[in-house]
Amino acid sequence: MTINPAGSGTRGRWFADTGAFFVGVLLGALASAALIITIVGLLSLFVPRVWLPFMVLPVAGLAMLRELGLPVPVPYRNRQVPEWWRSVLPTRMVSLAYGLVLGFGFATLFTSAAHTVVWVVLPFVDSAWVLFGILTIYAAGKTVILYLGQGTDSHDDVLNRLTMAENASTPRRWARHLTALGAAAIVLATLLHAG
Amino acid sequence: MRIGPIAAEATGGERARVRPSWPALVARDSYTLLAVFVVLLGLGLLAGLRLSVALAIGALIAGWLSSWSP
Repeated sequence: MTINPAGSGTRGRWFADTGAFFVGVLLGALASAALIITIVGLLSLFVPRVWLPFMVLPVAGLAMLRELGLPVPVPYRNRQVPEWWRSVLPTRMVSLAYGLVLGFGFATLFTSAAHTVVWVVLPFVDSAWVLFGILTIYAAGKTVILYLGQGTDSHDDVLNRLTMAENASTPRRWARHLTALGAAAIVLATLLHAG
Repeated sequence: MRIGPIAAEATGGERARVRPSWPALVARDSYTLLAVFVVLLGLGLLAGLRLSVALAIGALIAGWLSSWSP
């Protein structure tokens, strides 16, 4: 289980660290979105526009099968953010760096059907501002968890909170899978309906 | 379990309570995530679900969920 970076200490420091993480996630998300838009753009040179939505279905399908627990390949690196960053960089810089890597998404193994499907469908958004808004919402969603670190001033305090907050029961795990699959399904349904 | 960068030193702030507050618990709760998704989906359907709205919902879920996914 990987927990995002969290600032600590005073409320001001927590806000600043959380803000740095949010900015990092947004920049990372912009980078990966630009990469996928470029790939789909190149694909559009060879594939008729009407068929483009169907071209993303195999990747989306693999991600959804993975969400169901099948060991199918997904386009994520089986790596995590380097742990040693935390020991050599100031907390704020590490928050930013973690945000960049985690925001990019595919650089680490955060397999989620919702994440994959949203990203492969992003190129079909026809407004740059709407695209930016969607990525901002993504960054905000990814930052929510940092509330766990609010008000803590030691590593142990956060560990204690995580231990208490964590619940890996089967119903809860399936609630997460159901949510991810549901989100992926509505995105695909609206894409195919619009196409 | 890997924890992100968390300053180990106190900076003059008050000592944290070990028990998290309810927003902290809600921030990482699968049922809350599912409930938020259902509510947003319902509102989206009422408003006529468009691609941008579906993507916004999906992006929120993707970001929030991936912050504690294995």
